[in-house]
Amino acid sequence: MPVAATAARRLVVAGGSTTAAAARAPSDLALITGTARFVDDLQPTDLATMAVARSTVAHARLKEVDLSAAQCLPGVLLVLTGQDTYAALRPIPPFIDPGLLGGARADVHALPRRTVRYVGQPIAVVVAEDPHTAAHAASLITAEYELLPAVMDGRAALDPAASVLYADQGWTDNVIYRTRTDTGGVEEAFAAADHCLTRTFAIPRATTAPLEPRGYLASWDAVAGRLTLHASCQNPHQLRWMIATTLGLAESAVRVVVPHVGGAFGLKMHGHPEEPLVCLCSRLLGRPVKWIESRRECFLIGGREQVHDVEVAFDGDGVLRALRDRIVVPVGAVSSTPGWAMGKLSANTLPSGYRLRTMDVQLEVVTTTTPPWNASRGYGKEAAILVMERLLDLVARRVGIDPIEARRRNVLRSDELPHRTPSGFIIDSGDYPRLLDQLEARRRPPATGTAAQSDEVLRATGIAFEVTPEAGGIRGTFVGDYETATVRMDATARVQVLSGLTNPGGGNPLGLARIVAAELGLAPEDVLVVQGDTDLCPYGFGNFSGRGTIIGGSAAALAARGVAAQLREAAAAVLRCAADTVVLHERQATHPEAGAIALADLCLRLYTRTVEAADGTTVEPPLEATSTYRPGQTRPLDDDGHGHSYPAFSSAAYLVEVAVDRITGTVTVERVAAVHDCGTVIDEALVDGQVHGAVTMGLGAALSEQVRFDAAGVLLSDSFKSYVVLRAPDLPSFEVAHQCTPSPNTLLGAKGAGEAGVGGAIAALVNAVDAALAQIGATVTRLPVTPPNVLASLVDAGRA
Amino acid sequence: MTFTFHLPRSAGEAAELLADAPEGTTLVGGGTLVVPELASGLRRPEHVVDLSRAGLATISLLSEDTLHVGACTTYQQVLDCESLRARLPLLQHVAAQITGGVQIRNQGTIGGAAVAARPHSDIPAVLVALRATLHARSAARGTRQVPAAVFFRGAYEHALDPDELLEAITFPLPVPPEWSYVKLKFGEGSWPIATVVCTGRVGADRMLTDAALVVGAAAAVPLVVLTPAAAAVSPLGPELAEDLARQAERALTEPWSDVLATGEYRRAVVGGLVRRALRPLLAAGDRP
Repeated sequence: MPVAATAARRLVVAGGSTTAAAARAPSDLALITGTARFVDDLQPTDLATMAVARSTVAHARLKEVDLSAAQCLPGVLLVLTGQDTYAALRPIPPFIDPGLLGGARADVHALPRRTVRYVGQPIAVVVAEDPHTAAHAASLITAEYELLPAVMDGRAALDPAASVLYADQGWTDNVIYRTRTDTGGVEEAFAAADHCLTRTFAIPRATTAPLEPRGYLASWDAVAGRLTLHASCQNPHQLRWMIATTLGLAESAVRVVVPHVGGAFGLKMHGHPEEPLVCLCSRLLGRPVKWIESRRECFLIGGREQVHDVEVAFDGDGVLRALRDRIVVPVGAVSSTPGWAMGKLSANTLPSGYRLRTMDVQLEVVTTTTPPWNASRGYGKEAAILVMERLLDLVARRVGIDPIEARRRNVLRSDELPHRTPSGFIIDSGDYPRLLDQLEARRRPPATGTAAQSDEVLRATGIAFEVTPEAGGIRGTFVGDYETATVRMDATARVQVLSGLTNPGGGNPLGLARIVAAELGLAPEDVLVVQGDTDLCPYGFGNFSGRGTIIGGSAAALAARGVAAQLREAAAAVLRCAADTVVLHERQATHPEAGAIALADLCLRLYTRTVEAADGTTVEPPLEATSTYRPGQTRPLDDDGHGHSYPAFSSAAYLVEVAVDRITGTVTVERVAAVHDCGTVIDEALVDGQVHGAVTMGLGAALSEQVRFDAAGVLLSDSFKSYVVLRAPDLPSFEVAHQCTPSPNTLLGAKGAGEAGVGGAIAALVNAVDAALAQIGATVTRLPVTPPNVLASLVDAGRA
Repeated sequence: MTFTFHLPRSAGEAAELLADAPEGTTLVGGGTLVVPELASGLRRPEHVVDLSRAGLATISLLSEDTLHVGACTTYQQVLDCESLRARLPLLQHVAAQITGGVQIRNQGTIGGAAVAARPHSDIPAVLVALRATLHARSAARGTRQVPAAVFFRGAYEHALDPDELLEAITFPLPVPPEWSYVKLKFGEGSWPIATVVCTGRVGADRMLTDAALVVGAAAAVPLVVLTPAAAAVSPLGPELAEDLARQAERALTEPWSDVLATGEYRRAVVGGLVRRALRPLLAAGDRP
């Protein structure tokens, strides 16, 4: 249902795909009824508000920042520039250090002293008694700039004549990270192949646009010498480290608490300058200070943009022989967020789940004078899927075979898995031919007649096949590949799970509750999941890369098994039977002959020390276990020794039907179907919600989402009116089916969900539009396929 | 930011408040445009006059030939009004398509859309096509009437003086029996990229009378392609449709450009949209 599809992304109603799912989790009810408390709902007494003054030019020496008007405004408490913060704040440590992977490193200060590098860069902060005064004061801050050359485009940044943006940090070009995967034999394979195709695919800059922008509330306790930071963030423990490092505090002096989060999608991984700034302001003022990102500010942070110059060699039967791809990824100004590494994943994900072994992929991640990136759901994998799926369609068309058949001839068979890809990934398991069969069963024959095709409408179906590396980790960074959970059972047989995961709104606590309840013979509602508090929860990495269930869920399962063993032992003592014969089921510990005891009775007896076996031994309280889980196959795989490693690879196949209006270029999505394989499904509604959300995000990226700047680098798409995300009425109901090939590398056989769907939906949609245009000799030339871009293709074809 | 908030109980009281400080005062109708601007600091007025209690949210039939719509009438009121169903279905049709769902329809007002005079919006072209009259009121000069055709002076510019507020919009009745509204937008969240409003009466001889064809959202102000005076020059048929489409293309000399669509794009689609808008009228001509 379209409402759910949109909700899954924008309202982040956890498990929003069905009302049944929503009703099962109390936290979801809070979201639906508007009683959930987000960072901005926290209003401590004595609260002050921070606002940010931002650069109005793309690249310049910062000469003089004029604070006088802001300082004179009644209610202004503090104004800081880079001169003030330079000594107080160390450079923000990077989430993923490009230097560690052989790339270039630059110190990123929260506020610049000398150079501004994009329109919108913070140049000063103001703290005032109320948000309006703070915003007003920030708007009164002006600066004198000595302009430097701006570099707005990725390819321009690579021009040897281009200004070197970080020359002051010893850089000799604008490349943050460069890598090449050359298997050898590419030249020969191209020479031997029957056909060759050359294409350029350009993906525009997009952004994540969560319903709740970023927000932080810092409270310095001078007496305790401790900082509490309430943050809408994905990775509280790593944010704690970053804040402690930047402010020069012990990590133990910082507590990060994550309240309800209204969507994250990568934006809320840390490294943003406002994070240490709001903490510093609180420390200087001795008062709680809050910063809530405005919607306009939220559109600054970007992602996804890249250009692929691709050549593919293939035979007359449609079998791919070799691939060349030169990828340029412009990630804006250097930042400490993990956004830049999306480009690495675009390169590493090639050639998806295809057998192709011969390829030469070059990647350059470059800096420009646009606002920085952060991670965006899909994390670059979506670009690789778009490239491969566009190529497969073009190959199918060239050799005259069906697009599904073209995939069938190239995908890895189950007996070829595990498979090591040229980039070093090891695809664990899957059944790709069966996915394609299931997709074919859902495909309808092409519509005919004037209603289907006419002078005004072109209709077509596009498909895509997608393999998604899930739950990645990078050694030497805080992209963690393990997770810890503590399971505690109380005297009433209720359970608390302390987890290092966080919930951006997708509802993983319900999945954890389900897993733990199943181990302990309880119902999910008996289980309370506690997340997002570094003082309460074990060390963990929060949410990214579809890792919640795979890693965090497994840690919870292991801890629950520890408690289950205690329960069985206690029950065995009470029932006078062997522990391994006790079954935990329906809130009881049961033995076929010896009888049963309610878990609540058992727990009470255990805590009051009235459990005693026949031989006088007892089971000691508390009922508590802590376990850490790291999936198999997480050794470094790349040459640099720090490559992303992924334990599990989900797969999916998608089908999108579109109608293209030949008069206006408008694309209407008429049908979306997906067959999704994320291994073991813990909670189907949660997975469906993730698929709906990811597909909606992908369709939006393909259809309408586009970050635009003017020639001077000023953001034009700064509202939901000018950055058009899809809404419920834009989409049909989604048909989602599941296939299950459990991962051999994960405890539960789960493979992760949440990122899969972005790339598949982009690719299927673009393939559908291209197939429609091909009927009259036109082709998709620019993304997104907005009406003006589609009309331009139609007009070009008309002229030809 | 501080401002003085006023909640006048009548249009007269509102006009008095406006007269005190015309330049430093912001009027709020439904607030869907103004309140976000106040919240984000784009507007910093000294006075905010909220018209929601000024008795301007009414729809009434003044006579059989005049329908009165108070300036603060919401889109939802338009949709819910039984007497509009028969008398002004076009306005209901437009109101139903307002982007933003029920929250915006319950809050946004017809008069607010008119005085916002945004090029990329629905209401201006509709008012022009329906030959509406806008009733302005000031403390100094009382009320005066401005025809819609001269109300919209440019992008975000209208014919009201700084001390005037819009009190009501009146529509002459009956409206012609045939009408159509074609709206192009880029997804549910998009503002209109181009609209075409078409009204008319198709006689037994297929002669088009009492007709108007106005293109909206494609230029700074509504673009009148066909007026009642110019209609009835030729029988309604594919030739006339083609002729009007070309006229619209020619007349769109300065198309509106914004971040979603260039003027070039708007010029490229306007002819096709005019042809679409004329289809229901052509069909009416084909009816026995």
